[in-house]
Order: sequence, then structure tokens, then C-alpha cells
Amino acid sequence: MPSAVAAAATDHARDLDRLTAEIAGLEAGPGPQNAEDATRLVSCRVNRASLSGDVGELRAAAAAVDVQLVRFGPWPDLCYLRASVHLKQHELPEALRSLAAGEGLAGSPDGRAVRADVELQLGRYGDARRAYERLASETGSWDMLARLAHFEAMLGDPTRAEELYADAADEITAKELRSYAWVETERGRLHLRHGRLAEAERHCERAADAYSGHWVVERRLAEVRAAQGRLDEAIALAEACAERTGRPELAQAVGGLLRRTGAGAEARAWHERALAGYLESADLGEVQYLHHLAEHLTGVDGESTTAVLWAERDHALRPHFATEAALAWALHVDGRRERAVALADRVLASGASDPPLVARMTAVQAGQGIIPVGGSGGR
Amino acid sequence: MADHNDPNAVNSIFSDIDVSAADVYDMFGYPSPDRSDGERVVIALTFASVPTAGVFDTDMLYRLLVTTGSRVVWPDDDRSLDGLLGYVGAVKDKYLGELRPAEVRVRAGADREARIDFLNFAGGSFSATVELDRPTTEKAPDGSAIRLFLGGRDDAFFNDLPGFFRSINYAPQFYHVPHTRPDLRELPIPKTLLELEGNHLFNFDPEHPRLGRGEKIDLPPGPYTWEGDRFAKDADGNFRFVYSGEDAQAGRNVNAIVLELPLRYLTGEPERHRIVNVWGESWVLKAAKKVETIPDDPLWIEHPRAFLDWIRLDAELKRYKLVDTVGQPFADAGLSEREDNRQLGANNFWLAPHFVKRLAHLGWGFGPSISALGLKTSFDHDDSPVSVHRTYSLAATAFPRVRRLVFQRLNMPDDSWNPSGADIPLRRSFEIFVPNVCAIDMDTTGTWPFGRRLEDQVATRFLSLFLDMEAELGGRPYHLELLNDQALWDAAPITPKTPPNPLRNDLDFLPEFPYLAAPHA
Repeated sequence: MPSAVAAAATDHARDLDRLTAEIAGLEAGPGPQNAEDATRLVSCRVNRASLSGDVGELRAAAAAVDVQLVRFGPWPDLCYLRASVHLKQHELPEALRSLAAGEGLAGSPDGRAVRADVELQLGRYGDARRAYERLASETGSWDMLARLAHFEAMLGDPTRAEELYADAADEITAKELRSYAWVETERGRLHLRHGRLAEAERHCERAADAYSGHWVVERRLAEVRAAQGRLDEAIALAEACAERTGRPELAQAVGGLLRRTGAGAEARAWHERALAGYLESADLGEVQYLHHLAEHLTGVDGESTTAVLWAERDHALRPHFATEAALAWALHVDGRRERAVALADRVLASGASDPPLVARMTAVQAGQGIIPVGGSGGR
Repeated sequence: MADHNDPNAVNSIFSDIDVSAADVYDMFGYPSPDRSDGERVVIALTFASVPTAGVFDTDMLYRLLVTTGSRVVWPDDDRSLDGLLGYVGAVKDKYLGELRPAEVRVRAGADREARIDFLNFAGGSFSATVELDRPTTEKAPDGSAIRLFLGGRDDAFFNDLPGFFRSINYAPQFYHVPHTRPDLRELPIPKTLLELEGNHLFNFDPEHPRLGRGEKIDLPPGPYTWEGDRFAKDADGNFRFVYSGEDAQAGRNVNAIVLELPLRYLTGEPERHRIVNVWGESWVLKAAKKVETIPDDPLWIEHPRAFLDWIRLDAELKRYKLVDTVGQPFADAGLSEREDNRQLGANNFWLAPHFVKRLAHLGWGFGPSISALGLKTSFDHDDSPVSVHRTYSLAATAFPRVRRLVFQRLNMPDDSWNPSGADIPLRRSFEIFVPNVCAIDMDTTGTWPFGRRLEDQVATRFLSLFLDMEAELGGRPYHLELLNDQALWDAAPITPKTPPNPLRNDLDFLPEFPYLAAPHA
């Protein structure tokens, strides 16, 4: 596992060690003997995979959930975990099937939240918003508030998004510092995308203070440093994240940063590494990297037609504003202006409010050149 | 760009870290037996011994809130729902209006010390730093000697908790219940004191004799309802009790804050203010404040005994999140269904209609059980021969069923509770539970419901609310200790022949401060 090389004595490293030990304990001997212990085990594995960022570990965790589902049947907590992993892997029909398999799960707050996440991915914005609003009102829990905040950040009122993130952060106690760091990182991202670099830096640094050593925080901090023009720091942070996790999109981000410094050969190496990771995932039949693949190939000379194919495939699976925007951009670069503009019109009509995304779609409408949409990863 | 959110990545359905230090258990309060220095009141808040007995969680803040007042008697002549809501409204105006509770605030520091603040008391405000697990005495600004103990103790609660959970069909005590299915906690089977024929999920299972007492199995597939029409009986015609009388808390430890305070420190009018109301709260530090407060708070280091004014402390409280409250026993487990959003402490006024509906729901379970045993119940169940699962959406519909239960005066077994001989009316259910405070009557012994003494078997007294206090047994009116009487069970057609809950704690209480027994090794 790449995360095993994480720096010792950070909160992140300690949690990885703790989960490793707990997993070993639960797997010892005959393993879990009831559905609750089985859920505990696979929950630890999914949790550890999320924490490490290792895509292969997540695949293995998903397979472990499947094993326990065969063993104990459609125990609702197992089904919920499986649905969550499917969602993370952009497997939306499978996520819905897992939700439906667990008796009573679809109607529970947890199940409804996953369902709303799927609705958003399917472009059913009204349904998603209503569900998020209801869940946030019913539960008042930080994760439901964060979901609604994310919706507002992408498709609604960014000011309200920040207020909701602040409410979410206020709900989190000192016993949940990883969750707090995650929300602070999201707040940092929101500010970054609106060009408020000082606020973005403050939230990301606060996240790092709350929970040290987490690649999720450090990758965002790298984006902030890049936006501040502190490229050396950004590259160091991004490289460390990419090495620790092995995630291809982080390799792509490093390549993007290196290209900005003029280190073309090194940039190419990182981009090739990213591309290899995307293609390996696609070869395995996975779909979670299709949008990264499309975005990557859109920026490579002579690959824009292939990029359109990947973007089409992703859009067919997840027809929402972000995949529409990626497809519009790929079509635009590929010179298919009419369809690109039609899609850009749809994206802007959806209420999309993310400034880089809006800028790119406006450029498509205007027939302008390349505008990066990512943080440090756009090219 | 990432195009979707993923709080699931960090929000596991299983919490990584135990937060049960926030779980407050019991609030005790009674007049001290030691009157050598005038009237004193004993107050004890117990909570989970996390991380261990004698070590407090440094992210927690505990509050004990105190008000004093004269004994107010609500008129006896209006037994309507409007009358009940009128009472609730009057108490609400008082608690949310002019009343400003005094407060004891505790948070632990490193090195087995805790800071304790006394705020807004008649005898003055002050702070102290005390060593955990060591009884001590502090002098208040008015010279009052205040005894303190903060640390680990034996759990003073003695109770057949699994029996109670069996009576309300609370599945998580017996079964692995999915975290994603909160609707499967209290199953829609009639509440009952006697086993129901065919209630396979909750009747005693000889193949799993420790089910619910340490053993748990996976929840079988539904349906989770009960279609029977009678209580279960054995070959001898005996009912089977859902309770065992076993002390499920035996051998368990708690952490505790125990105080003994002069009444004159609490109020400038100790002759007139004979009622001391107290309730407890647990608060946990917010994440944002944890990040801010690393390293140590300089005030803690530099001015540990500094006087801390109210305004600054209110600012301090904003750094914490309220998690749990306790005033009356069973106000949570019995009447609020332990829902987080009902942790309102004394301010539980808006729950009054819920209390009526919940009492009626419980009554349909416990009332027919009591009748089947040949006793009279205060709940109107239309002579149902067996417990019924019934819920209410409207308090007005439920209220006629619980009118007597709510308004009847709760008889005491004898006069020992009132050694002063003062003219003190017996208490009624609605006065006990709204507001959710432990109301200590200083002219009594403080036995429940005139406070709560350590030796009170409150779980069984809670069940006695469902007895008809106008009925008689053996020529004596029913009373709050009736169900604790072994002779009653010896004569009843039931097995096992035991009071529902143990009659005494596993360890003897101490005759001197801090009164709760030392923790188990």
C-alpha cells in the first residue's frame, strides 16, 4: 500500500495504523461471526482505503464488502457501504441497486443521502436539492449540511454554500477532527475557485492543523500555493500526495504544475503516469476516471477526438453539469462547435455557479481558446 | 475537478472514536444528613467512566445547573389537557424568563486535575483547581465550606436494565441492529411487563439465557410485529415476568461530580426557598475550538483560581456543543425515547404533548399487564386483556387515557419521607417530569420524587406511576414502593417471583462524603 510510507506521527498515519490493527484483529481467527462484526470489518477497510487514497485498496475493500454480503445476505449496513463505494466509483445504477437490496435502507436518512448524491450525478438537480434540504433540516448533521453546501457551491448560491459549510463545521466536535479537516478543506476549495486566496489558505491551513498529514488536505493546499504563485511549495506538496497515494489524478496535477515551471520532460513523465493510471482503471471496466481521462486527452495534441469518446461515455453514465461541461470542452477543442455550444448553453442554464467552469463554458460559447478548469491540474 | 461531494469518505457509519464520555447517567440530590453547619444539600452527577474511572476526558465540559425557590402547589381542581398545558406554560415562562440558574462548571485538564467554577450563587462566584479522585473542601467567598469530589466511583444505579429494554422491545439490547435502520430500535410490539405469547423476539429464550445480558445475535428477518392475543403462561398458569430483578449495573464504574453545599450558599433566603432544582449537562468541545486551543489555554496555566465573569464564561460555552442532559430518571429512556434532538434539559416544555402521547403508548403496554396481575392501574385501557401496541399523533386523543396517571398524587409508603412534618403535598407525574429537573425538597429526606437519594429504586418507582393510587391492597392505599414489596410478588401468579429491579446497590453507600462507593478495581 503506497500509504504505508506516510510520514510517521501525523494524525493521518496514526489513523492508518489504528485501522490496520483493527482490521487485523477483526480478521484474526475465524473472522467475523455476525453481520455487525462483518460490517465493522468492511467499514474499517473502506474507511482505510478512503484515508490512504489508494485506488487498489478501495477495489479490494469493495470486494471484501461483496464477500460479506454473500456470507450474511443483504444486511442494510453492508448494502449501505456497498452503495457508498459504488457511488465513489461512479457506478450509479449499482449504487441504487445496493440501496434497494437492504430492507428499509432506501428510506433511512443515510440511504436517502446516497440516493440524493446519485440524483445529483444524474442531473436531477431539483430532486437532489429537495432531498438535501430535507435531510439537513431533519438531521442537522454536519455531513448533510456539507452535502447541501456542496450543491449550493456548484449549482446555487456560493454565499449560502459558505454559510452552510460554516454551520457544518460548527456541528463537528473535537472527537471528529478528520471530518472537520475535510469540511475546512471544502471551504478552502470554495474560496479558491472564487479567487479568494487568503481565505482559501486560511481554511486549508486550519484543516492541516486539525488533522495533520492527510493527502486530501495537502493536495488542496498545493492548489492554493499554486494559485499564490508559490510553485515550488505546490509541486513539493503535490508530488508527496501523488507518491503516497498513487492516484493518477494527483500525478496529472504534478505534471500540470511542472509544465508551468517549464520542466517539460518531467511534466510529460508525470502525465504519462497519470494516463497509465486512467487507462488501467478503464481496462478494469471502471468508470470513475473517465472524466479525468477525457480532460487529460483534451489537452493532448491529436487526441481530442478520443477525448470526446471518453467524455461521451462518462456523460452517458452521469449526465450532469460537470460531465456536460467536460464533453462541451472536448467537442470545442475537437472543433465541433455547434454541439459544444449547445452543451455549454445547457450547463450554464443548469445554474452552475463555479467560476472556472462558468468561464470555460462562456469561452465555448464565444469560440475562445483553452481555459483551465481544474485547480493545479488544468492545462 | 472533482465533480461531486463525498462526506461518506469520512463519515463512517461506525464512529472511529468513542464519545460516550458525554453520556450522563444519573442526577442525585437530597438534603445532607450532616447538619452540623446548617442545612446542606448533596448533589451528584454521574457519567460514563471514559477514558477510565478517575480520569476525565479533557474535551468535555460538565455543568450542574441549580435554581432555588419556594414550594409552589399547582391547583388540584383542573384535570384537563388545557390545565396541564397551562402548568407547562407557567413553568416555561419561569424557566425561560426571569430565572437565571446558578451553575457549577467542570472541565478536566492534564495531570489528573480539573477546574471547577461556581457561578452566580448567592454566596458568590469562585473557581478552584482540584485533584481528581480526592475529596476536598473549598471556601466560597461568603465563607461557606463546599465539599467536592470529582473522580471515579461505583455506579450508584442498580437496575435490571435489560428487563426494562425487554419490556419496551428495544432491539439493540438483544440484537445486532443495522446502524442505518433507526426505525428498528424500539420494535412495534406491545410494551409489556409480562411476556406475550409468541413474542419470540423478546421472550426469555432458554437457548440464549444471557441474551440481552452481554449476548447479542443478528436481528432475524421481520416481520417485527406481534399478532397474538394473550399473555404467555407456563404449565402452572403463571405469567413470566420480563424483569429478572438482576442488577445489570453491578460491578460497573462511573465518573462522578459530587458536591455538598450549604443551602445558604445557594440562596439568600434558605427559610423560604425550600426547593433546590438541579440538572446536569455534558458538552463536548467543538473541533474548531480544539484547533484554536492548541497548546494549552494560558488562563488555565497562569490564573487557575482567577475569578471568571459570566460574560467570558458564556463565551466559553459557545466553544462547546451540548450533547446530553439529565434531570429526572427515565425522562430520557422512558419518555423521550433517547432522541438526540430531545436533549433539552430543564427546558423540555415543548415536549409536554409528546410526554402525554408517550405515556399513553406505554400505558397500553403496562396497564393491561398490571391488570392481569390483579392490580389496579391508573391507565384507562378499556379492560384490554392483553397489552396493545398503540401510538398517538395527537395529545388530545391520548390525554383521556392518561388523565388519572398524570394528575394522581403519588402516595408514599409511610411518613418517613417527611421528617419535618411540614405540609407538603404528594407529587404528581406532570410536576415531576416537566421541567426535567431533580427537585429536592429540603423539608423531606429527598427520597424520589422529592429529590433522589442514592438508595432509591427509581426504576421500579417509575413503573408505579401506572398504578392506581386510589386503590388499596391489604387495606392500605397503593404507593410508590408497592412493586418493590417481595410479598406482593410471592403472592402473584408469576415467575420469577421478584421485584422488577434489585432492591439495593451491589456496594454499600458510604456514610460520609462522597457517599458513592469507591470504584471497582
